[in-house]
Amino acid sequence: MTPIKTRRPLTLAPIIIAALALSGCDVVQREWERIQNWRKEQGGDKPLPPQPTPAPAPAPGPGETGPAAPGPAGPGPAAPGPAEPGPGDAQPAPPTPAPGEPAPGQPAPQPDQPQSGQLPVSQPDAPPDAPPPGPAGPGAPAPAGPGGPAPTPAPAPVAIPVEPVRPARPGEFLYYAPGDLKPGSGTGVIDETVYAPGIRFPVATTAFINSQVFGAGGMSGPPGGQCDGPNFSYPWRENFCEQRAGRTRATLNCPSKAVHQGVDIRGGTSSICRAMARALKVDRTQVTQVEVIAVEDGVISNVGTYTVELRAGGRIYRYLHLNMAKLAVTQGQAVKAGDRVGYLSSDFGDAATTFHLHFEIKANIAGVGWTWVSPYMSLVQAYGRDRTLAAVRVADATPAAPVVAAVPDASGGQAAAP
Amino acid sequence: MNLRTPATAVLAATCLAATLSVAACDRLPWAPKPSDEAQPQQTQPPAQAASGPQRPEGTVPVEVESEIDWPAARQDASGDAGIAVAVTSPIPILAPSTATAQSFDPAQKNFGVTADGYYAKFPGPRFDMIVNGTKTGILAPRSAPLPREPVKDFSFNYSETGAEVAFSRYGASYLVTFECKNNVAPEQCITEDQARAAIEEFILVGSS
Repeated sequence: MTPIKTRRPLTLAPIIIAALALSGCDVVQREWERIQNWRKEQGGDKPLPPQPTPAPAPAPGPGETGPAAPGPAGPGPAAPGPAEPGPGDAQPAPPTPAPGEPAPGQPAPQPDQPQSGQLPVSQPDAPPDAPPPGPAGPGAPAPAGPGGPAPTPAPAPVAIPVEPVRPARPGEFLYYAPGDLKPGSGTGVIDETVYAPGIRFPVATTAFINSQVFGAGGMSGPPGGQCDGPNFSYPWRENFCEQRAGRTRATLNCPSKAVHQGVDIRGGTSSICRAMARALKVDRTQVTQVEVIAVEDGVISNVGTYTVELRAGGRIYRYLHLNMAKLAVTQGQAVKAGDRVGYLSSDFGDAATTFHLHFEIKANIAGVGWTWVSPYMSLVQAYGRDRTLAAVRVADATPAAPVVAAVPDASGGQAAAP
Repeated sequence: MNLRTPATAVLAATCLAATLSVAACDRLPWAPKPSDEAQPQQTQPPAQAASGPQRPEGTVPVEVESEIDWPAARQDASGDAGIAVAVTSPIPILAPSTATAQSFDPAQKNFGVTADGYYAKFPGPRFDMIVNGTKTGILAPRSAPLPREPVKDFSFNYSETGAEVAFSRYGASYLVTFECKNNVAPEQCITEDQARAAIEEFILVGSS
């Protein structure tokens, strides 16, 4: 057998690679420490600067055949209301279509634009032929509202680790781990507990858990509309514990005491969202595209102005923003899991918010008492079971090693990234 | 100098390089550290946060039932003005002092007894009060991060729709929801002092 011959430079190559790897890791480590230091300086819960790197291509959900046709979106004018984002117009942005989004020149969805942190005011819809929004560029203005969780100006160069997320494959849906909130939206809690095992998923259609406030069309989100494709794509992302300004709104275990006490769930698809927006313009009672169901056997213990509560044992499930004119239940009614409660909408008393279901679980925790607990893992489990889908955590679906994306510094430059 | 190197040397060098790389990247921020696992409330980057033994099923808690101190409740009831309502409940029924017998009329649908407790709704001009009581609790699993602060017997929090107060009496747990009307800011609807005052005037209704 002929001996394998090589040269010394080739022999040294692995050593050089190792040295590079060491130095590369140091760079990443330093960048990470800079992020942490910066966050401490900023007070921990304040948002990070906008992240210009667009999200990976969203995967269409089950039943979603691909990019949805754009159309007008966003409920009409509304009065102030507490806490949740309201509909309105978004900041215009360069007409770069987001993945799965309409091309320039097509009608654009209209996002919602809450105004103040606790009292969002919705704005009228923009003309349907307005230029389509796109992902925020490095210089794009960040929408903000006084008193709300407004983004602070980008103070220093930072680099944010970005997980390359592959699209969801048939028969599965992707979700970020519990507590892994959208960067800059608050501090989550890693709670794997399924506080409501065996429940039905509350939305009968395809559904997406993600932020209303920090998503496209949200008060602190990138430019765009609430019906934009990325809002209706996997992976899910928890928004329990998402920061809220002002008064004490604590939960069982969110690190902050002024937080979102439930999760927001978008129902249907991008095109269904637009259909709801069109229906809303005609008649609020026609927003019946997405059915909402009882998650467990129980009794309707309260029907409020824009709330419905389902009492089931030592738990209370709270549904917000249903179409209250089309409720399928009444006060005191006994329901079975799967019974229709009503339809997902944007009701917010005498105001309006984005189309979503705000879903809470209040439970009596031994030694603590009644409190809000994270519904996230209960919903992950329920969705997989109801839809016969495998729930795949992003970390498990990411074959590639993490990379570090450059983020602009305060002067508009780019932070170095290895 | 001999420039020829056996293949085994190349392989050994490659293995050494790989080992060094892995060792170096153990220091990456998203690599799990034992110290981090002991502090589950910290926010962690995705890969680290995702590392858990039970995915996607999660961790299921256990339900526990508390013992009700009926003698104490009956003793307190004897001193109350009370409301003459023929209801039976697994736990003592607490209600606002403004409640009337009509509040518990089945036709009103605002009151119901459940296997573990009861619920009752008391409509008001500024806010509705919804009282939920239970003797069933959830024993959170060890993996669930619990509050670091001592639990107060009277817990007041604002919510999406108003405010809520949680407290315990006679071994049962109660939740009083102040659901504000007309979308006013919750602080303008109910304050902690007002909520505390309302609950201090609660009365016992019925018995078992």
